Amino acid sequence: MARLYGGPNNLHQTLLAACNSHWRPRLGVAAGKFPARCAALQAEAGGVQCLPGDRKTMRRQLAPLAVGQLPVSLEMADRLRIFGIHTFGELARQSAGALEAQFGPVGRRAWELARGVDREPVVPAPLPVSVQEQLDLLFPSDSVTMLESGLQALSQRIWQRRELHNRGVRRVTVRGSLAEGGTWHFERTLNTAVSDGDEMLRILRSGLAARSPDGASRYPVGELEHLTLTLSGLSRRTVGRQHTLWGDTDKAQSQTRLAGRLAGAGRLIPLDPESRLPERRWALGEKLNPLNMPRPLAVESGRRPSLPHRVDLVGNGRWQRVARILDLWEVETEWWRREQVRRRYCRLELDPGKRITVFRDLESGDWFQQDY
Amino acid sequence: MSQDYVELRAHSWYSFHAGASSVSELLTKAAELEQPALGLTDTGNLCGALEFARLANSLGIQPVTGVDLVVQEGKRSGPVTLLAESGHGYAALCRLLSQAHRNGQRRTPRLPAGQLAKLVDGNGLIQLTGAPGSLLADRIKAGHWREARQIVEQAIAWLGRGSVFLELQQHLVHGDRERNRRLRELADHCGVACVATNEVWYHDRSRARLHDVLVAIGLNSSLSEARAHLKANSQYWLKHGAELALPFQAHPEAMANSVRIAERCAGFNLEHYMTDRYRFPDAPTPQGHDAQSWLEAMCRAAARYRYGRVTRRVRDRLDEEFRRIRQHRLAGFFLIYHRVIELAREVMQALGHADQEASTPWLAPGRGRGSSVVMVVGYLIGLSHVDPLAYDLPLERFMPEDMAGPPDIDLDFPRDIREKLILRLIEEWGWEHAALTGMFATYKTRGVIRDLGRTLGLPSEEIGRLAKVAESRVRGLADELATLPGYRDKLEQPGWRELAALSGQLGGFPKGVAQHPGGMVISSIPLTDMVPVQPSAIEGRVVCQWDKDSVDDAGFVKIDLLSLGALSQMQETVALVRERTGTDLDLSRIDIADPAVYGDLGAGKTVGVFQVESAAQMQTITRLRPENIYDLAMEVAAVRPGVGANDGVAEFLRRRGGAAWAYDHPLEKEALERTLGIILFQDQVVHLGMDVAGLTAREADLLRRAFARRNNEDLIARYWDVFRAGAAARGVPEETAARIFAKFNPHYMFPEGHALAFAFTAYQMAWLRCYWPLEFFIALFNQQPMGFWDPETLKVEARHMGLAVHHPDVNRSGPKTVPDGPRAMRLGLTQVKGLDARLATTLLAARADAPFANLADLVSRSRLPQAALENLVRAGAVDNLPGVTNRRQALWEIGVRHRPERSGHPELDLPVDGVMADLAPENAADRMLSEYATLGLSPAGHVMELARPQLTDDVLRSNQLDGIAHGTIVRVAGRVVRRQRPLAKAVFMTLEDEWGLIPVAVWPDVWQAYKQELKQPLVVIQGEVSRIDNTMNIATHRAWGLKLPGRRFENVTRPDWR
Repeated sequence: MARLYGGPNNLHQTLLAACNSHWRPRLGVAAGKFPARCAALQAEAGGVQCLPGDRKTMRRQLAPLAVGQLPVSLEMADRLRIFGIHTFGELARQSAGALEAQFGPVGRRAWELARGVDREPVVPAPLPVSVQEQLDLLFPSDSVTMLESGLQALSQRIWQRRELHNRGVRRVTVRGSLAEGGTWHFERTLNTAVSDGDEMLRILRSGLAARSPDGASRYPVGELEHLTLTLSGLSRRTVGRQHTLWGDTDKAQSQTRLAGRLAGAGRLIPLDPESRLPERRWALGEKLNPLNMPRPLAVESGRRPSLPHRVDLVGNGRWQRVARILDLWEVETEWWRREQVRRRYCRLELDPGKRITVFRDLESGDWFQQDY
Repeated sequence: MSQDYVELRAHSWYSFHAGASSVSELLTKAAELEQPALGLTDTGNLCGALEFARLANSLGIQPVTGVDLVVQEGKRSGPVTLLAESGHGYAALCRLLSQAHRNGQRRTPRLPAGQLAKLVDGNGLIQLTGAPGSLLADRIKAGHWREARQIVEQAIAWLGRGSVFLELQQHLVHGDRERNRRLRELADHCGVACVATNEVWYHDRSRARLHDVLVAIGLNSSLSEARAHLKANSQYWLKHGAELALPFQAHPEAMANSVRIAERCAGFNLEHYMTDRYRFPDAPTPQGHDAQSWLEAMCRAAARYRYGRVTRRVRDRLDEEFRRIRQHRLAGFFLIYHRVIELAREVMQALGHADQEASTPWLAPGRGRGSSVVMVVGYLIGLSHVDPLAYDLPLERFMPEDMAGPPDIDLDFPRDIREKLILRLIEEWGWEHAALTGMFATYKTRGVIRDLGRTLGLPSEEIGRLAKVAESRVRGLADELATLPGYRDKLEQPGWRELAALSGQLGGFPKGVAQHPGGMVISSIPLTDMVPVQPSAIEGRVVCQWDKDSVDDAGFVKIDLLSLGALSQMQETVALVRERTGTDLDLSRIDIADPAVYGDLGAGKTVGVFQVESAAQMQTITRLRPENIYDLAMEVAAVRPGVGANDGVAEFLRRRGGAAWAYDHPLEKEALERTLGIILFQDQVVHLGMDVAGLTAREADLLRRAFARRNNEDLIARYWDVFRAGAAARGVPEETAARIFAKFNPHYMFPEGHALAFAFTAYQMAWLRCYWPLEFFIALFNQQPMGFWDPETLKVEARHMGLAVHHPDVNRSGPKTVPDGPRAMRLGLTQVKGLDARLATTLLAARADAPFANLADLVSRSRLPQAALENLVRAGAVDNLPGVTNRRQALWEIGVRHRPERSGHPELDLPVDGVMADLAPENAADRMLSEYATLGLSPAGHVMELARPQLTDDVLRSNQLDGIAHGTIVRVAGRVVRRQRPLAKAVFMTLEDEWGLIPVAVWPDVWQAYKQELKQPLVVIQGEVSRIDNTMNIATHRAWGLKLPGRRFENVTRPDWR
């Protein structure tokens, strides 16, 4: 070490300098992981605190620390306080046997730590794993819809990555390059890990929509041309989840697990066979494309603007007259989501006896053809 | 009928978790649409039927009464709609519903088809079937034509061909047209008619979202999860016939049939049907007696027993009371009450409370309020514990010659007796004749936030936090959200936006049928012929589907059986006195004019005294200074929301203090003279209605009740017209009439009889406190939780009276607090947190053979859970065990010795010396905080003793405030024992320090500024001393939270808003 760093002081300064941060780190040096941590807690900001090697002096220096600093459960720390043991010194004064009799093995370990004895080896911290996906927008845009579409595309891609197989993430970061130069970024650290794209997108949308404490918008100010989505804080892999006796498994969790198992090898599209929206009922084909998607349609209204008079099925200007409206029904749903669905369907009989179903989107006023 | 369509299937908010409009909203809309009739068919109940009928009649709309009932056919079930065509049919409807509730789950009544056939009982009902979701519609959709036909033919067999209609609906839902076509074919095939309905779930389209939310709440799921159960669109509002003409253009006869059905149902009107239908049960009498002669014989026998000698005064009074009872045919009524009291006595004996050898065996366990207090008959049959002749109580005011209905008598019982008595009454008369009055729990702010948040899928943590911090009523929630940090940004976000919008709509909606605190209806003809009854959530109880308003409107006599903690306390105090001194107290004959008792009351020494112990009562009683029982009745009545609403309390006290005043009109004099022109009692509203506007007693009573009803704006407007006209006829100018009318308000007030009865109970409690304080406070501790104050305040008060409160002791305490010498009490084991009656009994059983010799003995013999043992140590209950010198050491020893019951470790009495820690004893502060945490009080000290050293000298103690002049700015500090916000005005707090209580007022602007500080358990207040008459308050200017150095103090009970 001396040859490498030229003495303890140089080593300390090198370590402090290695923390590339605007924080002022504290360095603790001691014969053991936990005493070193305690030493760091006692150091001044940006400074070094060394605990001597001899046990007696180290015990004296650790003695004033509060038992709350010990790596024990909150319940145990509370019980120690009820016993009137508030500091390391008061704990260290007791016998190891007494503490073991009261708390079991954790009592003995707490007693050892309070005396500056930590036999656990230093294990390097695992490198934080992150997963990243990038996207060039078709054209620079400052529209929220474009941003959300971009995020959706990134989400679909990133949740197919093998690294996320059976894992949750605790941090979501979105970075963007602005057309006029400069960058924009938005980050969310989550209380509970998410493990599916829909939930992540919901959190991102809600976070972006909320204003910052100073009242500023969190959306990019300027036109975005490139987006990067980074997921980090990956949880451990979950395997072999035990179902409950009654098989009461949550659908969303099942979807997540299935998506995890597919891990990019396939594609998961949630379907709802009972949905009142036909395009959500079926999917087919190698790519599992949803079936029966609404197809835009040119419609000319008659005297009653909400009912079709003529339709142009292929958009080539060949209008067909509506001979009869056979049935009429309305669907209104999902008003609790960002975009509610309101459609008026008409079952039509066209001139040559041909029957089709069309609907008018009552939100936008556009017409579509869709089997029902 | 002039219209071409009548809606027969509207659902109100009594279709719990689906109906999204109130009865009055539906009817108001129907009136706007000029509908001649409207059918109300709530799901599985008739909760709103009478309210609907009365309001509809008042609006000139014909009410059609019906219900949606789920019928179980094998494994399948689905709703059918039944409409009452006659009283016969209505009674069948009630029986069907009662049976359905007995068969199904509590929230999902279901009637097996076989029972429907049995109970439908011939004619009088019309069935509509075939709506989406019904068994018939399902069979048709599945293409099972033969089964569909069987369903229709079965209905025809039950009700007759002319009373079965297939229901066509057109809500612009996919499949409606095809279903209607097939139903029409089926109707033709089976020879029945079709009827058009719109299955209304809300009066206006704007409520469609609320309907979705209610459905999701009912399924306990989010809207996304519930979407398969939601309606396809928002077409389910109350529509005009013209709006339905186009959708039903292919079925004009179905539209016309709706009108025909309404016309057939015109022969039944629930409001008229209930008039004079109810019959109070006949009382059993011995052979040779009718009810009157038996009552008289009983009373004369009891009079000889109670008075020793029946004097002329007693005889004359009894004769007069008998005459009036005969005149109003009330003998059976009093005999039934007597029977209730007899049953209560049996319950009391079964519970082991009654001492057969006691010298006051005539004293029943309960006591009546209201008229029973002023009647010698009430006293003699055990309804009242007060001898009206001893206190010269006049009969006239409570039982006038022209009395309109039976007298209003509520019965109060100790808690445990009431619980058993209710079951005993149902057993005595049978569930078809005796049921508790229903009640509708309604949505308040927190429930609205939680349920809406869950259905909208909002984060539960944020919703939980919002529910805790939101203070406003639901209609102001959107505004409040805009001011709350952390929430104002969310108002425009999906989900939160809907929460804000829907909260105002959901507030006040009923959640389901609950039971009234005590109102019981007993009927000679089966109740189930008049109103459906259903099992309560509490086993054995039965609840009728009408609330107290509908029960009143139906003319039912409601016997209120109320639970009164004070009576339990009184019962225990008297028993303790007998146990300790051998003295038998007969509280019915104590000196009712004892100056020492009134001295205590006037000085505000009322902690623990029934009805006059609250902070507000303490403030008024020291100004009112009662000198007799009627003064005390006025005190009891004064601090009620209905009196305070018009600033009546302050004005009454001002006038009582000698301030000049005048009547708004001389006609007020007779009603208001005794209360100095202020309305203190609800009876005075009736008197004013009669005297000022010339209303009859019944009309005036209806006027009073109208104010207490929900959604009563239209009703009040109509009564104002009646009142104004009546007053004008008596020469009262409109302006004066308006001033008098403005004195009426919807808030609760006591009837005079109740106030007087409570005044007697309050006086008896004050008398016990004055002469038997030890037993009084012991009983008070044992009956917790009850009353207004927490155990710490009770302890402070007991100490002021020279009583010592000792720690519980594992070798000396029983489960309850007991005397421990002539001026001391020892707290009971159940006072210790975590030690319920079961664990206390376990400990006592272990102690039965021999006292615990030491801690090891306690641990091994009691086998209590470790947490309970530790709490006993922290509460000081092992301080006297041999060998215990240090509570911390004792805690350590328990930790070392205790083995969980199923640990498998052998119970060996091994020495623990080698594993004992060397722990310093607790200092005084730690001991005190441990005691607060485990007992809720510190027997020997007060938390402010710990905080006092950090306070500067200018922070005054409560006992230093006596000499401080009005207007002086002072600082005080203390533990917050109460925070109240009557009618959402100023916040009134009570602080407690080592020396007593400090009343504090916080005006709304100061509350807003210092809300966080004032919510701390310990506070320092700077404010101005305000002295009015005999009272003192500190009007807060500033506040600080007070922390104990290095320690944390929490109140054991929440002091808020009670």
